[in-house]
Amino acid sequence: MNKRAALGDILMDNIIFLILLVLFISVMTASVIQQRDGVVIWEQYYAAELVEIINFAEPGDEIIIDVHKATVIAKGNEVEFREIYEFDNVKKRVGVKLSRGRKTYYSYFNDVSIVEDTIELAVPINVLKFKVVKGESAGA
Amino acid sequence: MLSKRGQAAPRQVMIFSFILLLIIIGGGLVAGMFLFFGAGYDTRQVEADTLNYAIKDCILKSETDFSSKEALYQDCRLNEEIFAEGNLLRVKICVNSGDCIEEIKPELQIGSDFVVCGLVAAETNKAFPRCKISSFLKNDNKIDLITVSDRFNRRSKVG
Repeated sequence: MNKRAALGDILMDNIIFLILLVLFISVMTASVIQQRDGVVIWEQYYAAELVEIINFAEPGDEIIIDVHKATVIAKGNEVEFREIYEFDNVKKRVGVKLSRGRKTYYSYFNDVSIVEDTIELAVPINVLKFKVVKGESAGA
Repeated sequence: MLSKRGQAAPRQVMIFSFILLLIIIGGGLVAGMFLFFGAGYDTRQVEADTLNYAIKDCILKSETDFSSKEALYQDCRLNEEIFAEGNLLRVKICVNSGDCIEEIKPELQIGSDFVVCGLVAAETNKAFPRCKISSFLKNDNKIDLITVSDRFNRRSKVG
């Protein structure tokens, strides 16, 4: 048999194996990195806790929450502080982002809107402040 | 002497065992991460409790007509759209009923399938939604309020 052709076949097979292996390692590395610092759990935690607070809140309330842990994780994942929390008053939901590319959303049943949300740093810890007002659907 | 196809076939067959190996390793990694980090943050019971408290408080403090969904949404400041999301949040109100879970003519019902709230096995099985049942008096009427939550948060890709 032609030695060069045999070598070519073996090389092609190994290249295919290598490509599959590289793809696999990339996917695994990406998903393991996502789990670093328990990002997914902390996003779910903050989203759920914020929703619980908002569900109990009434128009006129001003809420201050300790978000130091969230800011530390976000900083480690190069997420801007202003991107961590998103309050969607149309869809009535909270978004929490502690890693790049993905965000955890959770909606609340209380018909209120969230305004003036800011993160204040080193007071002495990092806190999230926001105000609760009458919902847009209620004709605020 | 083997044909070219016969020579190539054993090497090509090996690719399946390689893929199988990758699946086993990948599956093991995912299973390990899942075991370590747990199944996620389940707040369904908290949500059912919170909703129950909010509606009960609203009924007791106001003269809302709780036989009307629209009045309940308006007076109790509830987001109507969230209740329309595929039976994930449910509410059932019964007045002077013997068993609100089985009641076929409740005062108000949003969503369906409240039988799960009466299942003993459902209390410990996480596959079932979470319920909160409360009873109270208003204007000498016994009111039973059942709230159910089966919602989880969602993780989506963003830009």
